Amino acid sequence: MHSEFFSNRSAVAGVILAAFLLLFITILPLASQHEPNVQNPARKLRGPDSENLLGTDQFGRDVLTRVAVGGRRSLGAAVAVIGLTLGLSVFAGIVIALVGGIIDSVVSRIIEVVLAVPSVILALAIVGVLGVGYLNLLVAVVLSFLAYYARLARGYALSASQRPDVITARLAGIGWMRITGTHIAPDVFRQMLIVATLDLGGVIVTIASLSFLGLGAQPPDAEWGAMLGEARFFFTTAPHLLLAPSFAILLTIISVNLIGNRLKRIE
Amino acid sequence: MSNRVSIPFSDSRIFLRLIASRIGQALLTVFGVSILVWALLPLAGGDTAERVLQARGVENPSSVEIQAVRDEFGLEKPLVVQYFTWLGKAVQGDFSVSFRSRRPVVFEIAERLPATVLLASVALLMSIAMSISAATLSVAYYGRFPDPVVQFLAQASSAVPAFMVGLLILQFLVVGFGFGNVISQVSLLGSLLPAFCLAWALFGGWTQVLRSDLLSAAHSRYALVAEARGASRRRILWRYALPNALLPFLTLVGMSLGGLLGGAAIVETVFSWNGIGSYAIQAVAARDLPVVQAFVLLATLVYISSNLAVDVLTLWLDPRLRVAQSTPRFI
Repeated sequence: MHSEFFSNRSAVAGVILAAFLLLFITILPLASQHEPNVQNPARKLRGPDSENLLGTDQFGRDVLTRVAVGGRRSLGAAVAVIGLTLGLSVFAGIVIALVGGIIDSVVSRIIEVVLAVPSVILALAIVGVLGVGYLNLLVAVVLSFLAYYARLARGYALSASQRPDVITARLAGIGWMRITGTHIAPDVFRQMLIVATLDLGGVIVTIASLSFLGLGAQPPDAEWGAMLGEARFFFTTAPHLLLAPSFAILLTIISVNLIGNRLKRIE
Repeated sequence: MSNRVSIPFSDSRIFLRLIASRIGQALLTVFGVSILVWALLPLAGGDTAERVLQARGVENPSSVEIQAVRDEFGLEKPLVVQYFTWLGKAVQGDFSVSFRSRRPVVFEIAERLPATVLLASVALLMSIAMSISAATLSVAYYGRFPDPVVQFLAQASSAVPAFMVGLLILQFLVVGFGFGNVISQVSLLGSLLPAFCLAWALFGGWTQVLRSDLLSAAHSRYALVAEARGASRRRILWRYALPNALLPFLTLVGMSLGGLLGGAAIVETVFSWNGIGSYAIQAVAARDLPVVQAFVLLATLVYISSNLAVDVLTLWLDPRLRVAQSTPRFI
């Protein structure tokens, strides 16, 4: 599977891009002589120069450092959100598929109802309930993706439970718990992981968009969407503020899309 | 050895029965969603009355003020009673008053609705036109010049979020070349730039789906038969492949309509477009829940009814669906 994955040029490009971005966000804040949140009123809204390679923002903070630190927050959040969604939905999907009966039909009805609310709207509603804040936003995004993921995982678990190896194991007298652990769960997880990788770009866009609107990361915290949200009030005087976070988001999404598409193709 | 399945009812009766069951399902879903939307207020936790007063700018409310708000919203009654009271009013369009402005939510929304309807319709038309032309062009020149460009643009659409396109447009077209305004006027001309951002977000996914459906239709057996009978490639594409590929496309369009309002919330904020989307964002930030409730319900109703409309339309357009879905019961 590994050699098959790397036999494709765009998949390799995606991995290299991801490695580059991860290196950038881990190493740069350590190497930089600027603190991400320290203001310098003497050097406001400067363009790129030798001291600040990507210029400074409206408080004189170094944009390059803030993009790297913001990347930790943006990427960390996206991976946490997709990981949590994945774990919860695989668990819930397997449980409702295998327990079946009335629980399955009740939960499936609830899922249908939740899915009738468009996901961005649902996330907005949850932020409205919880209040503005980065953690609240992440919870909202997890919840808004959960119903869709749980339904998918339930479907995968149902079809896995009817596979010949599972039936054979059952006939051999092996208990359901063990069959679930060794035959069903790994299979459901593998299929869901591919779905999750394909959605990672969408999760990053959702979090960045809502942060951009001021519903997520709060000042002075750096985050790609929030940086763009603040920068848009200065874009006539300091267009350089838009470039770095935009490029960071763009490269990230291209990278995860390349990797996700390849994983789907192999499957 | 007959595989033929007899159909006891006439085509139109099956059609009507399927439509009736779709409408029934949609009504059930609306009922479920109404519980979900109503629950936003009690789920918010804490003392609802205090939050209402906070949103109105009262910092340290007296117990008299709190009691007045409790009576106003019926907060001391059992939850089931509260729900049905809320539902009864909501059905009549009464979503109580905005926490902030104290004006009825329905007025606030009605004022801004035309702007959003204009923006969303222009965006929808743009995005349909863009993806149909891009996909047909791409299949007509499969593997040659415009095809890779179309595929690249479709990929780019998923990599560049709508709000970034909006910022780029403001930066280069509006500030750079003086085309349009930073603060958009609500007019057909003023809607073009924000509508393009909305359409851009939909364009990629729609084009990819339509392109692959067109490709498989262009290589299907009926296309081969048409070719054998001497139909030109152009005729096969336009007369045979496109109508077949447009059916799943139609379903996709119907499914995207609800999300369009979510996208509108983002794009309207970028372009300072005074519609219900940007208003909803302000309401979310201020935790003005009656407004949020009305917005969520509206978006969901749009989503459910557009899905229903598309379902009925595809059933009407594609007779195969009527037979295939109704046969298993009678075998």
